[in-house]
Amino acid sequence: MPGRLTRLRRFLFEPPEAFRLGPFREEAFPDPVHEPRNLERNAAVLGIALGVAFVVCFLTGVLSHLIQDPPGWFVWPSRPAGLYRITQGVHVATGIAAIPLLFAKLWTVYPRLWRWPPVESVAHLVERVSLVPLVGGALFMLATGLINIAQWYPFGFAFPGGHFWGAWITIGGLVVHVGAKWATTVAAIRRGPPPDTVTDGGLSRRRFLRLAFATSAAVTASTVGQTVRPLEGLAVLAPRRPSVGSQGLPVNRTAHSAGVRRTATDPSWRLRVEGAVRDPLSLSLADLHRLPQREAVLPIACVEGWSANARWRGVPVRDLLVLAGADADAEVTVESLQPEGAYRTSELNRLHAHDRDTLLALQVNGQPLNLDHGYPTRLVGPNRPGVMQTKWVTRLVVR
Amino acid sequence: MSRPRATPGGALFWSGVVAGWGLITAGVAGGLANVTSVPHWLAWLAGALLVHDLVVAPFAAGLGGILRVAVPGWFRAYVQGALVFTAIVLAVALPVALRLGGDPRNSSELPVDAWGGVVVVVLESLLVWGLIRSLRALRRTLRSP
Repeated sequence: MPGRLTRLRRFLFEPPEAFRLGPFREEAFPDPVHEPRNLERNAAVLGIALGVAFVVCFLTGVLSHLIQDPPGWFVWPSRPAGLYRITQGVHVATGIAAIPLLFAKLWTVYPRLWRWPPVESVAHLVERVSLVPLVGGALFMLATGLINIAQWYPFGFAFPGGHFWGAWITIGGLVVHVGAKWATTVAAIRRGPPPDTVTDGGLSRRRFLRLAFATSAAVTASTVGQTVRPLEGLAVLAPRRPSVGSQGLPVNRTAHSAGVRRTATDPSWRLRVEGAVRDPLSLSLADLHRLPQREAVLPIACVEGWSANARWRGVPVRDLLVLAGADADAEVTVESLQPEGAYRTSELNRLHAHDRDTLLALQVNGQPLNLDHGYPTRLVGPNRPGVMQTKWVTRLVVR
Repeated sequence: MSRPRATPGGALFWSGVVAGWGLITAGVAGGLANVTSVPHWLAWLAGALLVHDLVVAPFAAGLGGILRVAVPGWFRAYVQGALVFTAIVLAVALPVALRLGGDPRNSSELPVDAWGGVVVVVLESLLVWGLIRSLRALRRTLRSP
């Protein structure tokens, strides 16, 4: 039996040379970037950049998930007002910047997919198997994220859950990879860049690396203007621009697609404030206009990476809570006229519910809200994802 | 300095394996329990890997082989650079350019002509690259005795 095991082990770790065909051949990848020292250096540099990018995307993505679906221990503050705008803007911009770097890294190490022998030891086998969740997950995350920001949903699964759980698989693969490649990466960086010689034309190691980072800079510069207003003019590849939309503001979901055109314009519409209150309220639009108004400049910060500031005017939610006799630490569920959808309600924790700038807005940029922006009234508050700035509000349920 | 072995090992590696596979297991378990269509989710995860490794990368390798034969060595780097740059900018622009998503009644969606955007990005980048090359050439000229 030991003889068989030895033969099996030898076959797995030292397969016959006759099997070495196609991409398994010694000279299958003759490009300068695939010469061993060039490959090691570029793989190290690109690996570090991608590692940082994926950790940034992971942390900002998990934060966004926690904000939208908070566990009991997590309370997202209402200040600073633009913090979510920054974290989600960084999430999307970093993901886009990582696309060219990922392609460059995968091309750099592609010959290793066909290395000979395919595995050298049990540890090497574990390392190679761990590349499946890393590479598959990384490509999945960037591809689905990019498609999602164009609001195209060909996935067959709901994007938020698929993207979120895919992130854990990817980051797990990254942790294994860091452990496996730490020593070789540090050594490659310490050795410094090898001489950048090209004998037969084609992209040299250094030019290839520069091309990867230049492409990353170009795709970032041409999309980041969807959230960084001074760069809006450069945003030729961004799905949105901060100033394009009715009333000078982009719209994510229209009244038509939400199915609220009739109910939102019904003269019998009332805002009800109910639940754990002493005096339940039922207010018409005219009643809301008669209450003290407050103005605030706040961003709509979309999970898809665009954001835009607007000047909002409306009734502070905390004034309505006082009027209804709610507790000082009350929390609120905000309900929309939308008949269905994952975002037809949103939660105001105690910090958001009692922030002076959390409004039921009646105006935007000096004009009465139009239907697509949430007429008759919409929630707008500081430091909240756009999907939680509920439009076409009809009820506040106090807890 | 001696080169490190290609085969990994040691406490750092095995700690990473334990921690990493813990996270991977959590991700798979969470996905299986929470994602709305698990077969589609798994198909996209595996498909992304297979499409890259068995379609995109072999295509790039094949194209590289053709360029090695068809384009003179002194000019090949420029052709390779232009093709890689344009292909990746196109890939990033594709979901917006194809206009397959969004709501056509929403006037704020997709306000840009992404095909034109690709041309603009390529031309702008060419301009920046040319400027950098010119400045470097000028600096070399000024430094030379």
